[in-house]
Amino acid sequence: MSLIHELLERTLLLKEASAPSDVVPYQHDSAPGDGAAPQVWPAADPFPRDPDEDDAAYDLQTLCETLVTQTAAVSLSGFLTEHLPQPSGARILGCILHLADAEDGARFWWQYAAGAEDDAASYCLYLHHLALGETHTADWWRQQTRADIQPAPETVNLPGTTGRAATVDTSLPTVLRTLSRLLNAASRPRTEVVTAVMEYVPNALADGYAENPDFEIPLPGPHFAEHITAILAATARPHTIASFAKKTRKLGLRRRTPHSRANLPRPEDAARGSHEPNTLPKVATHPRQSAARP
Amino acid sequence: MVFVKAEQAHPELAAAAFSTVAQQEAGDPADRLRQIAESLQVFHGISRLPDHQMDITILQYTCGMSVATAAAVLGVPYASASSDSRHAARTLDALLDLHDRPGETSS
Repeated sequence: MSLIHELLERTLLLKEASAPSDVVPYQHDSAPGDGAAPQVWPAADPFPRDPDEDDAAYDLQTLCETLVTQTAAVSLSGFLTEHLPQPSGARILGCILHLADAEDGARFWWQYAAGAEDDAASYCLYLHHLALGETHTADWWRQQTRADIQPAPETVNLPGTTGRAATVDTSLPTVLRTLSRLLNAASRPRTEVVTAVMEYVPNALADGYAENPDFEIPLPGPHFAEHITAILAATARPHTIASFAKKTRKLGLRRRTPHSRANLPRPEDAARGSHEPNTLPKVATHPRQSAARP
Repeated sequence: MVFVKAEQAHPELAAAAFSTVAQQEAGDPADRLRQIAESLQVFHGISRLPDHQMDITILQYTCGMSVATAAAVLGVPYASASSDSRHAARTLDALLDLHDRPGETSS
């Protein structure tokens, strides 16, 4: 009986129970008016834009375009089911949706991929939140990327500097920073693959919403995996937006009849045109897609 | 159906296990978790006591009142409160199966 009394005595409650501290420590560095000069309201510039945010948005754009152009074919091929992509596919899907200005959908698929320890997706989320000015969330995702600890800096011997080795940082942020500075936004043409995929995917997701009205998540529409593969196969070669624009004017979103191919001015376009009407237009005018759209 | 109703009538006390003095005074996290686990079992047992036994147990041990104060709060004679307290301890002892396998409930 004494044991039960000991147990009971240990159930004595605290006079003032305190809530456990937050799992993610909160830093006060960006809280307004905390240690900084008091803000005057209305301020001359009440919402000053942080240049970091613009940089992040630009980096994210670069990363998304690069990922979609370079890895979409490989990544999107692995679909677990008709609707559910593999983590790498989810990352690409997020990038496509980001490029198509569907931020919520992009965030969802990145989080899906990041949950499967896809570091690139975590990095996308980091840039995404940083671009929105959500620095705490961004910091959290940056820690998830483990970008700080991988990979180890590589040591290379620069030519002409005998005996002196230079360390080269090959981590994702550095590579990305270099990449985005090398590619000037104005002169950077959006590749054909990106454009083609971006034309298809938002419609496919609209279909997905129409088909599954009960789900809040952006599920791609029916036959998404096959369509994406078809698009990627059709536009696998590197072309600039100029040639694509020319082609879309001729192909258009309406289907071009096979006879009008005779009007093509250049032989290289004619050669390309021989297989494209079988792929792209078929995708663009899928019966369920046109039927489901409001 | 009567059984189901009786099951639903048990109050949910488990959350209190995270707010006990004992778990706060525990030194290292392992001790603290052990204390929380123990209190979870005890609170589970308390929630299955008959109402008047549960009342006096919670007031006396969990809120730290004397039996006299608890009797005044409950509006019952001191003797009743004292008796309920004794019976509650015995019932809990059986409920928690202390002498057979410590820390395991018999429910």
